[in-house]
Amino acid sequence: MKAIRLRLWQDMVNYKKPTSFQLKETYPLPPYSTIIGMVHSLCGYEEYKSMKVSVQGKYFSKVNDLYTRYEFKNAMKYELARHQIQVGEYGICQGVATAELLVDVELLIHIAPEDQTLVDEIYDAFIRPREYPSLGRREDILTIEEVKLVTLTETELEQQIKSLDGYYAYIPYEMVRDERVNLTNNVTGVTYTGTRYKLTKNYELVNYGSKKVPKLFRRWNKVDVVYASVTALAEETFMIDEDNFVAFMV
Amino acid sequence: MKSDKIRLTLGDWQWNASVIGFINIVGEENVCHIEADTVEFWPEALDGFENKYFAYFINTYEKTLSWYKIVNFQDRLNTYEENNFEEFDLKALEFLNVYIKDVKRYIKSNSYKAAYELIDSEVELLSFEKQLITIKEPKNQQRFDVDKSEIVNEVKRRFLLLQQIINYCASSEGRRYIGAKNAIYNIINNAWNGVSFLNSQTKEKNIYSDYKSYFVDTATGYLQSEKGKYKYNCFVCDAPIKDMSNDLSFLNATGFDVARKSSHVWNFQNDITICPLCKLIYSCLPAGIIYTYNRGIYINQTIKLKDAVRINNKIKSRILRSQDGSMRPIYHALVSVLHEQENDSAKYELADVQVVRYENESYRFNILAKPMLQIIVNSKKELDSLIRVNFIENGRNINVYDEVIGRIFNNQNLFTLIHKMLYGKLSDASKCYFNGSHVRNVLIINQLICSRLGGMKMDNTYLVKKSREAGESLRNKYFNKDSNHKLAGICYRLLNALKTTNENMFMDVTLNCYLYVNSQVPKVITDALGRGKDFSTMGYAFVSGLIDGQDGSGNKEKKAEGE
Repeated sequence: MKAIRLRLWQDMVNYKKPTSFQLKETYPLPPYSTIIGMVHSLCGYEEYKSMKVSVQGKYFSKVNDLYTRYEFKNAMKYELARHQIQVGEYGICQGVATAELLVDVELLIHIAPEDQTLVDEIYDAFIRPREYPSLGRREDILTIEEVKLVTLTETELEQQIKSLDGYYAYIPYEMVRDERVNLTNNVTGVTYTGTRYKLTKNYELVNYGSKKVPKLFRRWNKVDVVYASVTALAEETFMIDEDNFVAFMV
Repeated sequence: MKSDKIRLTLGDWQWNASVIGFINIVGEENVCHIEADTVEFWPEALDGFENKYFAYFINTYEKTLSWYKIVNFQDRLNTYEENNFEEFDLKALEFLNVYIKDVKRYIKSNSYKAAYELIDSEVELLSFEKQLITIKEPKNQQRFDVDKSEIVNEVKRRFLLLQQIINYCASSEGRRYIGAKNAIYNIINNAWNGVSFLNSQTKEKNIYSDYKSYFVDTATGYLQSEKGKYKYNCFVCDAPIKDMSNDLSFLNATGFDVARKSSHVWNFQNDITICPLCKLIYSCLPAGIIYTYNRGIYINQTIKLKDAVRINNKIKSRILRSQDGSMRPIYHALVSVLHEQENDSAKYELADVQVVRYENESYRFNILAKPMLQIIVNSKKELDSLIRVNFIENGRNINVYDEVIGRIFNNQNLFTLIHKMLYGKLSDASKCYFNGSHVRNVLIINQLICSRLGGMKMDNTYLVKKSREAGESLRNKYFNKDSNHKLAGICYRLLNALKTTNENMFMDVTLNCYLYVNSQVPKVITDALGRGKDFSTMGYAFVSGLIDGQDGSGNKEKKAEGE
């Protein structure tokens, strides 16, 4: 399977958790949907192209930072007591809130579209981005350090592969449950370590309203992963690229 | 009621804390762990849930409630009466007056008034409030002794009143309702607000039935309902739900006003709604987080629910046992519990423990980065020695332990703190409750931090030790020449040089000193030249050696023990 491998760097970034509206909490690494969204935006895709993604990386530390928050309701009329900003006849609330930011993020990402003919197109989109690439919020600019076309092969390992220096990964939960990987800081007596997340991957639009008054929700496809630092064990099968990086494709 | 078991599985921290709160409330014996991250319970566990809910808060936080402050006076009251007020002196009178003022304030507060309506009793507590007045305090103990019999008579009359108030509050109904009211405004409202008994417009006065009808009944009703036709799904547990009426906006610092601020969600269409059962679980959030005086802490161990319950209960008992509500016990409990984990054959991957702190009505998260955690673990001895170390700067009391931990969390080094400590020691030693060994410990921790941040190779204790020795021996030489009065000026100049990391200035001063005492410059000083952080460490350790014991070594121990 052909894939695009990215080495990325970001300075201060927030990968928001979906339920954190007031304090914007961040995931430790970008969730799949964020990366898939970035690929779609850079390639200009209008509909979902099925793809598999592996996310690994690390960050140095975390800080809380203030940001200006704008809140409004579509087509809500301006009210002096409620809104701080008037736009035409409409009103917007302005205030401050806090966002959690990751500092000095390094990422190692594999992207493998199901339709393999798209590989070159996606590769080109990263080599010559049509606009500045961002990952996370719109302002979280991305430094692309390396883009490489790689071939992922399912290999039974002869030797175990440790995670890159201090790198963490999203590992599919089954892989951890079936003990195909060794969580690096694993200790006897504890079945598995790390933090579990249910990450969003892709969605389909579902109309819960009527035809006339549509009420569109995104019905998310969520995947169960463990965020941890791992060693891929020998005698187990993994997706490996030619530079001997393990990819935990989801 | 359909008796299907109900399952709860761990998710994000807020949910996890709520699940743990739920387990705390119903009791661990009423749930069974079926997988590492999942528990099951019978719907019967929800019978009388509202009583268990409040009982948990009242029992757990009993000693922090104002109700307890009223009732707790009973013992004192008995003692005085038993020995016929022999030991009653001016101090006791002052204490009594403070107590009376507190009681007056409490029993006429709105939350107490609301509780009276629920208590079935003839007694009119508010009428006591008017009669209960403080007693005039004599100027001094002599005057007190003169008027003692009169004062004691007054006191006896107050005691009669107080006894009635205490009896009223200490009754089982008093505890049930006043305690619950206390818990609501001290504990529960830290986690959620605006609905049920915390809705300011609620029609139901009885907080127990309000909670029951708002949370419990809707949940049990939902459990029994036929869900076949429901088209929406709960965001947390994915169960089918009928409508979008339950959102997260009742949780503090979490949701948003769904009706008026829909820009928060995709396409202005809020899809984050929960089922009534999840809402009931979320209402247990305050029982999962540990609160002390408007601050809270929760350790989000996501892998094993049992461990999560155990760790948090350990912290809870530790924090609530300490009477002091300052920051120190929270940090200290946190750190020592983390140490215990480490010692517990290092069962947990420390780096993945998310710590949620609740402060100033907002949540803060710390995934303690592993290097920083290691610093805390590795320097346990040094850190422990700093717990009671304080100094006063601009009239503000600064706790060195808090400063150090805070800086470790923020990935900062400690040079500015060390500078402040040494400067304080030089300018006004009476306001510094520490000695040289404490400075040394801070320096050692700082070395650890610097080596984590990169660029440090030398063994950290070695450099600090050698430089301090150099400082001390130079100081002795000055003493031998009877020139110790010169040391303060030298230290000031050295500190200025260190603050600006001006190596030339530092060397100018030290060379001058060694010339004066006619001896060789120690190797440790010249070795550190041109090595950035090592130079600063050497310099500060050297200065701390120079300063140490300046105010007479006999004072040292006493100062260190200071407040």
